[in-house]
Amino acid sequence: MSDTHIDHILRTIWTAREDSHFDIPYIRELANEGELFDQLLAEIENKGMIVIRENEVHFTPQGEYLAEKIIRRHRLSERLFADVFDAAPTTYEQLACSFEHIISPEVTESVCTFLGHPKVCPHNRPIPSGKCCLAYTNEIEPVVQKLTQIPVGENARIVYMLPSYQKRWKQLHQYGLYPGNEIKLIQKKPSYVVQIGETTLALDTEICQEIYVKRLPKQ
Amino acid sequence: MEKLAERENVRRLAEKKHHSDKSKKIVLVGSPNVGKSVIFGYLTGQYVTVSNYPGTTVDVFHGKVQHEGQSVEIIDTPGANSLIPNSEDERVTRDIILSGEDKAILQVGDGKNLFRTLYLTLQIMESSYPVVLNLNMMDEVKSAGIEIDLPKLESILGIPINTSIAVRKVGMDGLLEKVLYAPSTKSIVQYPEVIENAIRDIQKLLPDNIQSSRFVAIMLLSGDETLKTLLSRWLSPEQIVKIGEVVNRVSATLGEDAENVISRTLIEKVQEILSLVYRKKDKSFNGISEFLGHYSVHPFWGVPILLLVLYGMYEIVGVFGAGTLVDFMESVVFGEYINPAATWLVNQLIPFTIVREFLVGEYGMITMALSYGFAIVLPIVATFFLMFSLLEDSGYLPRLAVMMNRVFRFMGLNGKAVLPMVLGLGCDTMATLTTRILQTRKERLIVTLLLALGVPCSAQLGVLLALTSVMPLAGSLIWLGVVLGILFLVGYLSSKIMPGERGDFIIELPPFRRPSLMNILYKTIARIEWYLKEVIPLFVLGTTILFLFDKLDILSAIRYGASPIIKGWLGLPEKATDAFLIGFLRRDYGAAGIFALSKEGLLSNNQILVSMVAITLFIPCIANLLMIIKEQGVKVAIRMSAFILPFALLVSGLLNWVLIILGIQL
Repeated sequence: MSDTHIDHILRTIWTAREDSHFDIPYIRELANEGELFDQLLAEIENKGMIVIRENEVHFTPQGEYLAEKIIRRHRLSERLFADVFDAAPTTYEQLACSFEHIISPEVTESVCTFLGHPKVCPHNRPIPSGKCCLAYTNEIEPVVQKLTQIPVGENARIVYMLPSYQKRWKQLHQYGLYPGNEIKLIQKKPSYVVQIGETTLALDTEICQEIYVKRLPKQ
Repeated sequence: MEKLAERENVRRLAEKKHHSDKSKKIVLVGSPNVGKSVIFGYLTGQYVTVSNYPGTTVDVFHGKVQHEGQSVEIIDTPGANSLIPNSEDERVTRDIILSGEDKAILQVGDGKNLFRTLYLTLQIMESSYPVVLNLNMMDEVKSAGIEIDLPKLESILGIPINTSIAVRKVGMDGLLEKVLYAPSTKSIVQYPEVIENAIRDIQKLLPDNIQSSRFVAIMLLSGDETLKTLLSRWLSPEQIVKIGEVVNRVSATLGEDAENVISRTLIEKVQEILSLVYRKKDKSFNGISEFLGHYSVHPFWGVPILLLVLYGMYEIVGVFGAGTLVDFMESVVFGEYINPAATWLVNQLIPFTIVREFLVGEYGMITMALSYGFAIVLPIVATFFLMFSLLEDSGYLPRLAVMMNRVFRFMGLNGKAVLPMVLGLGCDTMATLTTRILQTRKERLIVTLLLALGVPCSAQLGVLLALTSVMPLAGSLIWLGVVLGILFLVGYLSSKIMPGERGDFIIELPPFRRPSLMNILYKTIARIEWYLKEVIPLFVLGTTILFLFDKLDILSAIRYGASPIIKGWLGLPEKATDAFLIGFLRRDYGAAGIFALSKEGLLSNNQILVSMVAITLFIPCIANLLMIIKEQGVKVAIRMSAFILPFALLVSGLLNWVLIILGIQL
């Protein structure tokens, strides 16, 4: 049986457990794998990831560890496709299902940092935290922040922008506010003032909250 | 060398082609505030208001020059950052470029802001018309530590580039020839294949006689709604549907709007070019300009600087203009020379008493209309416009917008509204026109209302300031407090009542520049001229009406009719009715009437205060009303007037009664 299927079952068991369901019929339906299901479940049990007692499924410590990693990769992927690429729910579900199998642990950490260590997935289910998140709780800033979160006088590179209106987006582009370009935050009060190349712009706070940047090291 | 020879060939070819043409057209295109109007003025020998914030060149300017026996038409377009329009200005510019005839385009760009300049250049080049890029403000490029590899840029773009410092007339020789002999351009942007295919498909659907069909196709793919009217002129409904199908197909294939991909491709191309030709040396300090630019919007230092600017305005306009100059004009020029001389002359030449009185009587053309207009109003307006032009050209006005953004947000506006509001202190009519720079209709309506209700124009402000000088300080403060309070209250309430939303506050802060004296003088003179043409006829009209009312004894009837309001509610003497009556024509004229009464000692301090509040909030002048009709329609104008007049009387009457009840005698 392929790893993809096993991952899927582990993920399903985890999700069911979040809703306090341990019984096999419930998990079977949720997994939607048809006749393959019983075979897969038996295989996972054989590998020592789960134990089945009184028709209920429980993780072994090893299974728990693996499932947590899978869940983390899956939900971070969902966030990535939903927030950064604006994918529709059906699309990001699908994408996340493939993506979770191909990202390495290092990439997982980068994605998590890039997204600012999100706590929940788009369906509002918790994302298990990784090493990078623990470091984050030790007061290390996320690599990608809103423009409003960086200190005055800092240089940063625009990573992405999520403007509420298409029209706003176009206008900002013309002034050179575009992912990849460098931006300097001059002041926050009485209004936000930023510098892009040789253009100095004053902006509403709301607009600055839609600009995500990565701070650049001081020269 | 080869390149040069090739260009020389093209030049000769172009020359040959152009010489067969009857008349040539050159269109000037560029972002706001890059010196386009100065270059237009240089090329045509005409002067156009040049200024530091968007919205000044609302109209399109045309000029004609003779070159080697042929006439060349030069068109100055409104500032545009992009040809896929976001604003009325940009739409006008785009339409001029699209409109049929053979033409050459001169793009004026800021050398420092090469990113934005090239973004526009690449769009213009899609039109296939001959294009010359003029990089202006090269002095600022140098002082900002920027190096541009011009020969390389020229060869990448494949169009001639000129560099200039237009305000100093550097680099302007031969510019006209360069544009006239410029070769046609070829697009250098390669879009993803899906888009390139779609461009070709749309081009096939467009009529053959459109020279810039690639350009039109790209705009259509960008989902430009404003093109629809143009399109329906060229194509049948079936063809338009077909184009719509192509556009939809592209978006479906790409999985996102074609517009995003087009804009991304453009930006990436610009970034690629910049990486090859643009270098900036790091400089920690760019001199006084950057210093001032920084501190004038500083959360702490910005405030004293703002107060200093206001104080300077007050000293020049209030003290020097409204005091010294008005005194001189009124008591010396008119009082000692013109009025006595005119009276003598009229008495000598004209035997009819009625005509004599019409010219030099109590409500005489010369003694009242012209002496008000020239002796009281002109000096104040002239000094105000001088100061305003100075602020405008130095680059301070957009910074004022930054300082005031929070205050204006309270009234459902944003900092941009500060520009028409300050201009309103000069002339409300002009300011009402300038509300066009605001993004949403709601903002334009609120600002128009506030201007009409309680922003005194410089002429009125001058007279009001003169009135405050005869009152104790407390009175002046009450006046200021009431008027500001009312403006905030009405602004706040209308922002809650009116539907619609606040526009985005995105405003460019140009570098502080030392203004050119000539520019400021030109501008001031142009504005004074506009003002006089607008105002003096109204003064004459108003005086004529008063004269007729007086002679026909209507004046006393109106005084009698209005007396419950004037005497009872406002607590003013009957004679004050005259002032309010002429206030219907112009508020400043009305204020001048009150000033005259107070000089005669007919008003107590309380009465001065009440009438000042009433006349400040009074109905806007006829010119302003006409402008409101022009910009917002008759309905809005009527509604605003119907609100303002009773409201002004209500507020000032309440003030009168509050003073009475509290037993306050100023």
